Amino acid sequence: MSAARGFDWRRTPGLGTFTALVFVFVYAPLVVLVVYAFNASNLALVWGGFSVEWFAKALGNENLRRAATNSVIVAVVATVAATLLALPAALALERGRAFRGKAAAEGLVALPLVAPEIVTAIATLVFFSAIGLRLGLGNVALAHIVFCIPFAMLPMRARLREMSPDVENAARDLYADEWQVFRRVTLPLMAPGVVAGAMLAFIVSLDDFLITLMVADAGATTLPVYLYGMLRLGVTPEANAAATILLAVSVTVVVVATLVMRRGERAVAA
Amino acid sequence: MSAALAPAITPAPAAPTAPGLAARTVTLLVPAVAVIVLFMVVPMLIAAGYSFLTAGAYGGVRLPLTADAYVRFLFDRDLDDSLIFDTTYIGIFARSFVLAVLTTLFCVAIGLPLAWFIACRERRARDALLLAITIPFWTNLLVRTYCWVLILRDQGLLNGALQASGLTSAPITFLYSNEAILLGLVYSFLPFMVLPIYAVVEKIDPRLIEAGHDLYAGRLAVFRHIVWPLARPGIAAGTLLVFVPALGAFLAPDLLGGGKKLMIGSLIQLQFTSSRNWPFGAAAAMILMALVLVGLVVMARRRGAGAPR
Amino acid sequence: MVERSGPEAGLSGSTPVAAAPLVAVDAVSKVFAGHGGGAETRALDDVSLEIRANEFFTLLGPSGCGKTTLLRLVAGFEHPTAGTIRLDGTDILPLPPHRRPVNTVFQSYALFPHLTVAENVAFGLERLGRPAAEVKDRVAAMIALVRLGGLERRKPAQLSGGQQQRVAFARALAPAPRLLLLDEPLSALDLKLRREMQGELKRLQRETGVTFVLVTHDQEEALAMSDRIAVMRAGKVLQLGAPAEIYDRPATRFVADFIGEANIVAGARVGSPAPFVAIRPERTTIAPAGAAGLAATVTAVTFLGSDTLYDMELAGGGAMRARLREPVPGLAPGASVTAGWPADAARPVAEDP
Repeated sequence: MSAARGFDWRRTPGLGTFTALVFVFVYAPLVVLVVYAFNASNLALVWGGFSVEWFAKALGNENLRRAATNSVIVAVVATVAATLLALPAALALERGRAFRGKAAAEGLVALPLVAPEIVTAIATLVFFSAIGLRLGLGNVALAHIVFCIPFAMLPMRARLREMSPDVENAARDLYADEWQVFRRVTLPLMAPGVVAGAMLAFIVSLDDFLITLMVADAGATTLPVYLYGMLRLGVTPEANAAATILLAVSVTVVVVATLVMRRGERAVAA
Repeated sequence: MSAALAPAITPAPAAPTAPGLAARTVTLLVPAVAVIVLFMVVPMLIAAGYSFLTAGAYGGVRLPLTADAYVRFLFDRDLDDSLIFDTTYIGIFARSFVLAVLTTLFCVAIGLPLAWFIACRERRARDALLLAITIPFWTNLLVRTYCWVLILRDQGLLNGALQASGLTSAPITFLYSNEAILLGLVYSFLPFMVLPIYAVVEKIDPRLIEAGHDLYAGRLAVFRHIVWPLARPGIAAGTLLVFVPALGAFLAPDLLGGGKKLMIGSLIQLQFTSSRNWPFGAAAAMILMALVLVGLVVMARRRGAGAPR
Repeated sequence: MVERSGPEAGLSGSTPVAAAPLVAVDAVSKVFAGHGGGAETRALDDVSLEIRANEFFTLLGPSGCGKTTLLRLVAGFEHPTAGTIRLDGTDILPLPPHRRPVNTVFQSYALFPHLTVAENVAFGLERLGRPAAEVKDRVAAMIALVRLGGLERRKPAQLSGGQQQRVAFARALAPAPRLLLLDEPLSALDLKLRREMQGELKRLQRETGVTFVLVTHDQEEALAMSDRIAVMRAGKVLQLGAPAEIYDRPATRFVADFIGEANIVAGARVGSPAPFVAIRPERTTIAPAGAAGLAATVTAVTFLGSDTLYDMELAGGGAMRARLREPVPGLAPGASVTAGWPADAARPVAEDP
């Protein structure tokens, strides 16, 4: 457009440049990691050509593979359990009647979001040690279920809030009982929120480091914890490759979850 | 022709009454709340109990009950059992506090203009920018912090670039400094500030901005007198989301501070690993949790006071 | 009279010439680019008009006619695609809204929710850097002017719709603008309050002497309040004149139909050289079948209390309506009649551009 476009309060001079710089700040380090992971040379400033050698090496590492498998097992168990626990709670908080203690219940389900991770981590460690629970990967999965609940609930509640209760009341008016209302109207309409919630639970579990570090026994190491061990020993191209894999998985899941949620939004708006 | 399909009215055996529905609401909440109480609240209470016990030789705890763990924050026990005022741990708490405050300030300074820029864009651009700022929010914190190690370490990208361009001849040690930790913390938690601010500024009626300009306010005055006051609830929410995890951060001080510049998070973690002093670690965790709860209450109070009557 | 303490920014050198218009809109067009590949819209199409000092000027038209766009161009929130806008002879297009001595009353009021009534009213004066004592006096005077005394410390959310409306007026009038723009200011009020505020608005204009430009789609409101009206449709001004002039001598078919009610008949059918003639229902007569006029059949009779409406279908196609003070006894739907009118009641009107 020409310079004579006049005053527009939506276009603050310089803010576009500022935003571009912030996005460079946010993404450049991730790009650096990925470039290193694909760099045949293991020197910082030398591009030795494109190579998947480090990925092959990382994937050939049996311990790393086992840690990755553990991560997936824990994430799947935590996702399923957290979603099943979060769904009724989301319904109760968004559609249920007021009752004494509702605010307290609301605060409790949000507790894993507000408590510092290190506190949750040591509390869980102390708890498992106090009751003598030694289920290996089971301990890790239990810890993950707890902090995944509020994350799974976030998109569900957002979805329920934007759905008009009129649709559900219309179903009641048309002789549906409460179960049928849920099964035939509420659940199909809130499905994108449930899917997005499950996906968030999945990545939150997959990404967790600190709680797993404290809770996991030697055999129950997950990928981030194993990666941390690798990094402590020094920067290696193999570690870069492993970190890149973890990054790629999170990014994919987030993008898919966001798209699912947006498509659902559009369907409700239409 | 049209037979009545609607059901005949029969006296309902038991009409759903409000208390009945409330009971159903409670039933739906029970599983999630029970899991969180059992695996989070109870563990925290046990940890609180541990903080008053004595450290076991190989980790764990034993009797007798004592407040030693808390006393250790302020005093060192000398050989003759007298207490000497000691600032080591106070210092760690102070460093954590200052770094968390600075992190929050930087995140507001970056997050508010960014959120405003996004909110001013059209629908499609807004969605895209929002997704772009959300992605790092959900990606692995360990990986993201590690990226900065690659850039800042002595043989890293930054030193390599500086030396290649001839600006420096020997590597500068960027890592293991408070500045590096601060950078890592801002990088880690920036999205936590942008998203709540965006949620608030996006809802500001554009007519209010136009009314400001109409009434002779320039861009700066509109920002100061309209955008800033209306964005404050978002800034408050973002402050909570940034300050709390920054205060208890473990990875940034561990990877970028090299374990030399301890913060509360790394101090606690140490007590449960190499230092094997569970009561002291639990006590530190309880103090951290207390600070967070105080912050939450203050924030809730202010929100309550700020709401229009 | 209220003394002029409005902003001189960018306009300090200009002195109003007696005959010169306050606002001169010259050949202004505004094209909005389509969003996401949609077609572009021409909101204003080569509009020229002049607004005189101290008048109550109304832009009247259906939604989408471009009236609000024109208002936003004058305020500075939008920039025209072509044309110029002068205020007191000075081109104001290069000026951002905060440098134009023009204030707006927004449709939704746009009161600052975080500020009190007094702070809202003081906002413009403070931005202009007026001394605190002057701001205080002026705010008090404005609050008295809109009769909101005692509510100074309330927040907008604690006020009724009508009270919020008054705050919006006081806030926009406080800096004593050269021009007050009102974007459908009464549309959010219920009918009774709207009538009351119409009188209030006239009073405010009289007492402050500020030039008002009102945007509305309500023709009754326009007729009741304006000194002059510009009737707009599809980005063009169809007619500009005093209310009586527009009502009595509509220029085009659309104006005749939009302002009040009108029977539109093709000119050829009634021996007029004009493309159409317009006859007001209250001037339409009903005579027995066979009289001079247009043969018609009564289709509906509606009793309104003071008047009775007769809807008729013309024999050659088309409809007509008569609004009679005295009902015709025994005239029921199905009756054959003749629709007529006095010779001076048929106004020739042009086809719309």
